[in-house]
Amino acid sequence: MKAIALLAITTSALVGHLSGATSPQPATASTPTPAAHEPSDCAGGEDALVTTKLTPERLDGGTMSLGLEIHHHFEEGASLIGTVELVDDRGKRLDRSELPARQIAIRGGTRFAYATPRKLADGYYRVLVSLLARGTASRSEDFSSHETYLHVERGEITPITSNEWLTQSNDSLVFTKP
Amino acid sequence: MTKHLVFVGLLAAGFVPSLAHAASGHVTGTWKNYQNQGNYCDPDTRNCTSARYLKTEYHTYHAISNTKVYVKDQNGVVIGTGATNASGYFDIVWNRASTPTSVRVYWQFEHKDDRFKIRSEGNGVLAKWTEPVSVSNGGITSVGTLYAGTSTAISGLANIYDGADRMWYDALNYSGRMQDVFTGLTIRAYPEECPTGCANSGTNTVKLPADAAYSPQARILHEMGHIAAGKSAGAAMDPGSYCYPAETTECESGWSSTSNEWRGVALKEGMATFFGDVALYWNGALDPRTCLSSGECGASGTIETSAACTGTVGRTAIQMDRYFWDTYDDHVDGDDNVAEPYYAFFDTLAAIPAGTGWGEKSSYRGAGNTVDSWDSFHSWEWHNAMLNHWSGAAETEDIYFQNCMGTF
Repeated sequence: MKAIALLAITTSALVGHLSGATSPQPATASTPTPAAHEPSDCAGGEDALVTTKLTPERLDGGTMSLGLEIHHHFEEGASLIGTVELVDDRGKRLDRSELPARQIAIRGGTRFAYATPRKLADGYYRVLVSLLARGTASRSEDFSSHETYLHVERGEITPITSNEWLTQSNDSLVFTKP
Repeated sequence: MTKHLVFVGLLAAGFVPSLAHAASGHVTGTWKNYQNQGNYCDPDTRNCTSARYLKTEYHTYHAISNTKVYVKDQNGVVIGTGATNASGYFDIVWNRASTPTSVRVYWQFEHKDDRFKIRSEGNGVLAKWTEPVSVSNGGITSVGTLYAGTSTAISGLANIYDGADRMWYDALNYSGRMQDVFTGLTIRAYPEECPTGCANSGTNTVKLPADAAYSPQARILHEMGHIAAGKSAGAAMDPGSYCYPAETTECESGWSSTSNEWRGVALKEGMATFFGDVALYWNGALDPRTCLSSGECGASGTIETSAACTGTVGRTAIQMDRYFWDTYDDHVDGDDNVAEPYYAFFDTLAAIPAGTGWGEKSSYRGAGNTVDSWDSFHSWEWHNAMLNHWSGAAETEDIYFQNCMGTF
């Protein structure tokens, strides 16, 4: 039931993304009054050249399908390669898939799908995506990695937050050998 | 005589049994982590003179040094505290009324002198810990080498900690002002409200997204740079707008080091990045670079370059970063005849007069506390501050123009 509720939330988020939701822009210009004597803040760091949204989409016969939406912000076309790995909370790699190489248009995007292996044992899992985008003309590279987390209990797969991963999984337990 | 009587009195009051049953011992070990941060310098592909983080360190196990370590009993009660040395080694004495059934060793991502610590999105303690270990009264128990992360179980938190550690020991620590004021920073992992990272020196907090762990220069180093700047200046020095050319602060878009910004924002962001650059490159570096990437920075991220000044000038963070770098480095390129110490930047920030007049910290404001100069505090005001307010009185005009600050 919990998984279904989460699925509904993430699906609606995905629909919103596909329908072209963008960063909100101010409706009107106004003259703000900053708080006096407030030390300087950073309202946000640099935007990534490649942005990724890794979204659980559906459960099907004991596997979870995830949509991988990738957008790049190069001022030129780019080639993209990458991998998707499924690792448990003790570092055991259970699956590794290479994403097929793709060409992306200027400021374009692409989409991949990844399905977890069937019949995952109960426990906590990390889906790790590594991407390398290379500008077609400049050859400039952008390497990035992205993660999302899953919990399996009695065979039911549920997406969990990074905080749940950090505080509930065995990721907190140290390793005694590399 | 009086002291003797007091001691006898304490014994009579029942302290003898507890002393007789007190237990203590040592727990020793070494903390290590798998290094996965990008932004290293590869000597096989470029000049890495004075680079502080080389590719030879990438994907290796490194010591987690100068960090607090706790020993907790079977009930989770702290019975011993210590810190690792430069090699990651610790030797902690535990004390307890009786010998614990077992202990665990905890690392809670805390700097030994409280310069910084990592907490959860809700400010809770995050930790790495061992399985239960048996100890004996009077004994020395070695737990061996403890790995916070491995090559297949990479720890983002431990990598962020290493970035913060580099920022402190290879950069900020060289400023006396930072030694005085940079303390108690909390780094939150990973609240969703800051998808590209953010910093607030008033609350002494940095918030990082999960994707930040392996891109140090644009994330943990940059955000700690904001904290350092804010603590030095003690006041906001620009309207905080990323909305150029709109005169509003309501937009939510982030920024790029190469996109046009209000000049005050470009200065602030370029300065935060520069403060972090120094954690990876010292002033003799010949090919320092900066970028947002979990790999090596490409040539487009060079900050030691003579860029062609075309189009709009003085509005990008990368231009500001290059201007600050030329102020700091000792490499003569073009008209670069300046080599000022790292601490000069913090001391200049502190020396800028308070007020809303031109060249003063809140120069972006006018009467009634409203914003009347969206471009302030800008790069020429900074130039004048280094010349007229900092005790070192550095003239940086040549490199100001060399790095496309322009006139306006």
